[in-house]
Amino acid sequence: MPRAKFQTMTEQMFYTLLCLKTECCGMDILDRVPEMTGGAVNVGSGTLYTLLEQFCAVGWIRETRVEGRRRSYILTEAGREALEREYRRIQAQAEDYRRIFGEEDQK
Amino acid sequence: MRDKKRDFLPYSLYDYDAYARHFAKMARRGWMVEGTAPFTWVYHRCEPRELTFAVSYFARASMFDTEPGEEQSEFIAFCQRTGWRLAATNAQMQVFYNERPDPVSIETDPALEVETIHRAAKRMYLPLIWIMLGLGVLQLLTDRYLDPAVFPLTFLSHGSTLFSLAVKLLLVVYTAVELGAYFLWLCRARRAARETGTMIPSAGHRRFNVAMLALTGILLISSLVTSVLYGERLYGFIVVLMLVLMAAAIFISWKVRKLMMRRHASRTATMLATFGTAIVLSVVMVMGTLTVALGYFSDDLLRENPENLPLTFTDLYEGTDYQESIRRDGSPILTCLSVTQFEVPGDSLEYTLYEVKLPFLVDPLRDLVLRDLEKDGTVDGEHYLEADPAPWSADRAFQRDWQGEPLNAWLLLYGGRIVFISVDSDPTPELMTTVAAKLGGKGE
Repeated sequence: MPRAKFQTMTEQMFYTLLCLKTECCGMDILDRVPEMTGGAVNVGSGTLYTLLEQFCAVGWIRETRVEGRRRSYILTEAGREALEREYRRIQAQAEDYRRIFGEEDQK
Repeated sequence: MRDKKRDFLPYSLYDYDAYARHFAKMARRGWMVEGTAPFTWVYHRCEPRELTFAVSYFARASMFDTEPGEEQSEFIAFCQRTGWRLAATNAQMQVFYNERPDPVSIETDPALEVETIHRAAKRMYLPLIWIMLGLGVLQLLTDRYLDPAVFPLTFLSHGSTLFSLAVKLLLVVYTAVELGAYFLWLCRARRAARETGTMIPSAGHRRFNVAMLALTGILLISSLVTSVLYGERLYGFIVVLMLVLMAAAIFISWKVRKLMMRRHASRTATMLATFGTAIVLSVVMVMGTLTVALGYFSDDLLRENPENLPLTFTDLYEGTDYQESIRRDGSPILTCLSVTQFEVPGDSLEYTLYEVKLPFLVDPLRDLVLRDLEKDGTVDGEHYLEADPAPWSADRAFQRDWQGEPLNAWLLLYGGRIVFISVDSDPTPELMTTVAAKLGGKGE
């Protein structure tokens, strides 16, 4: 199920992976995502917990350290590729928009 | 002033909205949820507050955990980071509250939320419901009273049998509805998450659950009242004793679990100790109940007073030194009195008197007997031929025969009374008049 689901990422998945470009723990992600998006995107604590578990399971992130209840993670090469695929998909959508509305906007 | 409060919530496991709303209402009234006891949620007194509650599910949690494991602790820490404090747990169900006015929800991805709930449900809730449904169906299939060969009046006059059958039916209906409703909700929630990215409200069936509980209670009480009124006193005694002992077994098992948890025993040890206690207590209590009830009290509870019999050996014959066996059964529908009195050697009297208690059931129950007679001439495995009802002052009379040979046994219909009677020799007109008066209520 998760693999099929990950073919298209939700905003929460996208920003969670983006946060993990550098090593950080789950609780940092809870703070960083709203900061990064100006409060437009929030990840719920339960959702983040499940996402981290599933990302680990598909090999998009890996656990780097465990300090008490704090687990740290970092993006893997596979995760980076997935993020890049998603970026290209979003970019393609943006280009489609520009192609359709770009000329009108210039007028 | 009380500092603790308990209540019973008839909600299904996945009815998270109903739980959250109820706990928020309790907090507004000054009661904070803190955990569970057998069948109930427990609250402690607090300052009345406006709090937001959320029920989340953690599949790897167990009701046998002494304290949250590493993963669960991490999950709780995540929640704390966003202001959610853990108030109570019940196995996989985690109850959080948040003091912030508009907190970020614990679950913000509907698709993941649905799967999280389903993962938790698969751990204990669904297997338990499937097992209960399977046991209910098995019990129904193997119920000997559902055998078409069983005489319907025998079945309908046994209050205990009717009650146990009704409870088995209720169990099957309840579990089937619970499973059906769950999987319906799961399909709808998955579709909504996939197509609209929204989480549909949890849809329990609270009224149905309450109705099922009320119905079980009514059945139980009416069965006990019937057992006392219509002669199944031993059954009533056993049911009451079993209920008390079952409640004690559940309470003791729960105490054992709490004790093991206080001693920080492992999940496996706590589980083994709890289930072990429950199984041992159940076996001991069932055996004990039967031994006590059948061994010590059965004589008192089964003994019937011959003075209450409508017809006795002495009403028909001279002798007084006879042996007897009397059995009474009854349900709100029908009572049954079976009497055998005989001298050795000498005369004998044997009769079974069914009396329909509900006037509107008189005709349907008579028709039930007559339909069998009209079909193949047999009732309760015996063959009968229509006879003249006049000497018996009955509405209809049928005489039993064996391979064409008439026997001194009759089936007599008197309004709401259905009488099976057999005597030793050909009945005299006086005997028939006495039977009509005593058993048929004619000329009383």
